[in-house]
Amino acid sequence: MPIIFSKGADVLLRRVVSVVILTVALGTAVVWYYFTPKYTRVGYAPEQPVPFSHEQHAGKLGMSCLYCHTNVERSPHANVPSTQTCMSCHTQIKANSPLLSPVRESWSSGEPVDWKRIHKVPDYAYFNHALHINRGVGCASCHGQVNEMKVVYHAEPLSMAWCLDCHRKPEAHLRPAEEALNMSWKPPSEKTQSEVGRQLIEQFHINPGQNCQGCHR
Amino acid sequence: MNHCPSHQPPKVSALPTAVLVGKEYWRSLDELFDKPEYREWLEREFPNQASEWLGGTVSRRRALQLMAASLGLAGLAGCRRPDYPILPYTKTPESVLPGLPTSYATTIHRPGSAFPVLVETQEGRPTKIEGNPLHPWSQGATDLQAQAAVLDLYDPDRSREVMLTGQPSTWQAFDAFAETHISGLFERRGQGLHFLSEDVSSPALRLLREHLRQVLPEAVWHVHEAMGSENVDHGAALAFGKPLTPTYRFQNADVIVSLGSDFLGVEDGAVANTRAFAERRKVEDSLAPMNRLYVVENHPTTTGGMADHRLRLPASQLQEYMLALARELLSRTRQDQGSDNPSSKLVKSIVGVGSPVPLPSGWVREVATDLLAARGRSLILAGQQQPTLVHGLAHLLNAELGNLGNTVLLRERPEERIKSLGELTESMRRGEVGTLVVLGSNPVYDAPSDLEFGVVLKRVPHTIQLGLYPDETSAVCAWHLPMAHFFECWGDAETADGTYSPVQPLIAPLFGGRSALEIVARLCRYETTEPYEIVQSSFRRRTDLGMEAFRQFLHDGVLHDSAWPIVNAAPDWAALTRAVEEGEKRTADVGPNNLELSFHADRRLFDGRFANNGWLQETPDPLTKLTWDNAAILSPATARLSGVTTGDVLELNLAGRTLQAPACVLPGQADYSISLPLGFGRTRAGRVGNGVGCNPYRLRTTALLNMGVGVQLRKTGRTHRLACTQDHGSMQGRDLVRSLTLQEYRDLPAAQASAESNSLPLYNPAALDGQHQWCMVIDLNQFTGCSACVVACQSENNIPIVGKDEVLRGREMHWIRVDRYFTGSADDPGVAHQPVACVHCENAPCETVCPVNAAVHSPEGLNLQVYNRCIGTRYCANNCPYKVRHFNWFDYNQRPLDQLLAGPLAEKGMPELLQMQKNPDVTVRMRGVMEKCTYCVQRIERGKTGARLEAAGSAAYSIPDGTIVPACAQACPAQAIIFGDLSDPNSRVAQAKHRTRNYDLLGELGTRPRTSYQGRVRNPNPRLAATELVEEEDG
Repeated sequence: MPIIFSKGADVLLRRVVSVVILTVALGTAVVWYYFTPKYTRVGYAPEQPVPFSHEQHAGKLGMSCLYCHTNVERSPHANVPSTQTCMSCHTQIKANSPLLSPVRESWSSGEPVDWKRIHKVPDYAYFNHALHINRGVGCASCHGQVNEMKVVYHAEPLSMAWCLDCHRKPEAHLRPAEEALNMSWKPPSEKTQSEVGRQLIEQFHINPGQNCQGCHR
Repeated sequence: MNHCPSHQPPKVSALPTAVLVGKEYWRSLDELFDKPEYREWLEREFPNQASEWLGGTVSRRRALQLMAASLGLAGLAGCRRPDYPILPYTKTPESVLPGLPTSYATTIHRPGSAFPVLVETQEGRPTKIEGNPLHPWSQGATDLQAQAAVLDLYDPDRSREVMLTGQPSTWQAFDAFAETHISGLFERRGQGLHFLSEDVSSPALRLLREHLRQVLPEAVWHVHEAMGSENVDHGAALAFGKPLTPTYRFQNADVIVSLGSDFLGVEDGAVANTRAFAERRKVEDSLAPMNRLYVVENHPTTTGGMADHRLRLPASQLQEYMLALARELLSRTRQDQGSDNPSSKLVKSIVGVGSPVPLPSGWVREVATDLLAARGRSLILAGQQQPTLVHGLAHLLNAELGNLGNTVLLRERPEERIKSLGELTESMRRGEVGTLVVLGSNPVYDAPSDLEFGVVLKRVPHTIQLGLYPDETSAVCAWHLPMAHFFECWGDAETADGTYSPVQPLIAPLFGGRSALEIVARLCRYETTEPYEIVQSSFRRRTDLGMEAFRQFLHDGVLHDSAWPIVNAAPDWAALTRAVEEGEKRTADVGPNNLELSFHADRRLFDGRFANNGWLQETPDPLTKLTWDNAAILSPATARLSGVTTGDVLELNLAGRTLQAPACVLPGQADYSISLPLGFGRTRAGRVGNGVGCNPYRLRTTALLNMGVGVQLRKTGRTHRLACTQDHGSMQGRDLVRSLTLQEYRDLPAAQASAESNSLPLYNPAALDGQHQWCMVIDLNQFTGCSACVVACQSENNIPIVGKDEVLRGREMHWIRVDRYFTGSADDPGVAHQPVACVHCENAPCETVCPVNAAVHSPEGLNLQVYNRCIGTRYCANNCPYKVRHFNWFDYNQRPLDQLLAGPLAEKGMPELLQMQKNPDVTVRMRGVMEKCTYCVQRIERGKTGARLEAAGSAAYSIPDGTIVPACAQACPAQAIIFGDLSDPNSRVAQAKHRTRNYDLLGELGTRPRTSYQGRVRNPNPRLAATELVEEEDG
């Protein structure tokens, strides 16, 4: 009977098998990390037409989020301010700054400023800002420390798993509803976050949905 | 299993088998006679060749090649994250909260009337129409056409620019022309200037007409409506000596006799009528006794379907019936008086005319007895298209029965001298018309064909047409001006009873159109051409109220108590007697050798004005279940006589004019009477409406406006495929729709333990532990089949249309299917309608077979479909016993209907205009996804969010019953659909579930549906039922 496999065949087989296993493992790892929102979204900081600094406005000047995002307590959308809102201050302050020229142009032409959208959930997911703000989820929980951002970037993955983490364990993120807009809120020193959270859950019957119906329509 | 006891649905009791008549219902003639075609349809499951592409130019192989190619290209494009812009307002508009809808009250003009609505706008885009709850004409409900009006606004085929003899022109050019032309007309005091408008009841337009009469006294105004209400006016004038407007109060009527009146269907005020009528069909809640409806008609209508007794008579014999009823009633009410009182004279004249037709004796005697027993609480109605004499006699009898002021209110409205289309055509023939301004009307399409309007129009030197679409009339007119849609302009309107309501713009004109008010004001040099200012002047004149009241008027969408004054009137016996004597000697010898043809407004397209509306085209007609077509409707006996079957193309010849129309054999049609719905066969409606169906206006003449006797019928030998949905998803003759008589219902023992709500547990039952348990009850006793719910659902839930070819394959996407059932004999059956959407089974068969968990149950009892999980196996649809799941076979939202199977590289995407209509709260589904009724989950969530926000800062929140209303229930004029929370024992829905006539559809399968039905209760007259039975046996 002729020999089909040479002496090296066993070695070759082992090598091939280990290369395949390694490739698959590596591929899985690459996809696991690089193809998920943790990588694709977090850190996304597109260049905006106006280099608006939240650090300056919300941080140093201490303006309330509500000054610009007026509807966040009432509407599903946290609106981006109209040109009018910008111009209410910037007709006096830095009225001739070249950086603000797109805003002035918009004001005179009536065409909107072409902001780039950073936070976006898919079209089939419906997020409600008003509900979260009124039930004690702070801005910072999803958007990060915006008051410290010179350029706003995507701070959290906003993936479904990430949403569900909080919906399953809301005590880790809840705060009193009146502190929702406070970017630097910390649980009082004598209590831990989960103690505060659990107390709020009990007090306000907070029962975040974990059901498809809540977000997908 | 952690079923909370309070969340268990109440014990559902079946109607006892003794009175259960569900199994006697049938859906089509083919099913009744068990024809082979029908069996084949059922056994095939999918229609013949459903899987093959017949219409396209792309072969299957080529399509696969292109798909593979596009897949390769798609890989390259997917690497970059796309930029999404955010475009905020520059100036913050008042009262717009991005993300939350705002509603505005406005009004839709209808022939001689109006329909008040609330329009939901999303950031300035009108997206959904609801009825105006403050207006008596709507009371929060809508009809089919009102729901679909929003689609017309965004119709890409709408007129976009000013045209002069077919060439694009500008408004500036028109204004310059108008200025010089009008100067000439002013010199001649308007001689030769004629206006032709639709029957628009608008005080602002009346104001302008008055101004016109002052400055241009020689100018003439004409009004044309294809389905107008002249006969109603003439009938009232005949009976009372002046043109009073009758309005009806069905809530006060115990006995209603309708002669060819489709007051629950296509006639004006149908929504208010249905609400009032249904109020008296609520067997449990109503203190007043259930009403009884007699209908005499030639073709089956929505109203006929609700009748307790229905008599089929050819249209030409309805007058005979009216005369016979008048004779019977009058001789019984006035029997003790002498022979020379006015009543006896009238009776004598009726006897003198003689009745050539034998009428079923019981139908005259027993109906008269019933009417006499309900004096002051009865109502006799004549259809809008019935002859003047029938209207006159109906008024007389209502007066005689003491119904005036109780069930019939007569109102006096301001009179105005307005001329007809016939008079205009005469003037045009004589060459007296120098300038014709057509406002919105389309006479070239819908005028009686003997007027030859299109031909005569060419003789007019200057023609100007203002229209929403470049239509048949604009093709002949020199100037065509784009008209502003009624959601784009200011105006005002009155319903037929005179209730005053505003028309206010919700969006700036999309295509730079102008309103009729603006054009007329310009042409008669009114002090302003701003419609807003004209409306304010009109408001001040109509009401004597100030600006504060005007703002309230705009807010409410109605001026309360502004209807015309109610007047008393006594019938003019002598005039009616003369009319009977002088009336045409009736040769009502309709029979096998002398067929009759009648015309009626289509239940969806009305007179053809809605022909380019895809939603309406695809809504199945409530009775024939036809989509995308009209057909000559024949009774089974007439069809047998002529050897015709459904789909045969017939050539109809009426007084020398011919028309080819497909036949549709419909049980319940009067024998020897053929009826043709108008509104189809448009040639210049737009891409949707062009060439759909046949155009009956070609047979319609001034003399034979509503019907003609002596139509010749010839089979052409060709056939036409009618897209009829009646057999789609047949349910194999189970007792799905149930009814019983009022007496049987009263005799029913109180709630019995249900034999059929068998609840075998699933292997993994859903935990129904939500705070709310949503469910629905549909009352078949109130459901008329009008199909407003179907379009309301389509509008709310972004449901696409699929086109005739796809409907033929059984792929229509409507989440609500209105099943039509017949019961009784094939010739003269009773009709029942049943809406079926997803019933949200607690033990849902669809959920257990989904391999990707796209069909899942929510703790609140909703059967959810998760679009982003769905991979399109369609197992769920196969396993659904109710056949309510709909699959997106193609990218209906991304492709025009004629390019559904164009290659994958072909242009894709939804036109921006159509995107504007979409409800932003509902996902627009793509190809390959299953969808179905969600109980309007977006509205549930909006309601819950609202309640939670209101309760923010406190512990519990509750949702009051009636806060959350799905689109179908909101639109329903009959309030047949109740939605609510089953866990609240006081909710209307929980109460309704305890009724003995409550039953589950296919409850024996143990699916435990959340939607249940309430059996229909009929209220027949036992004495008439007995005589009908005898006559049937004799016959």
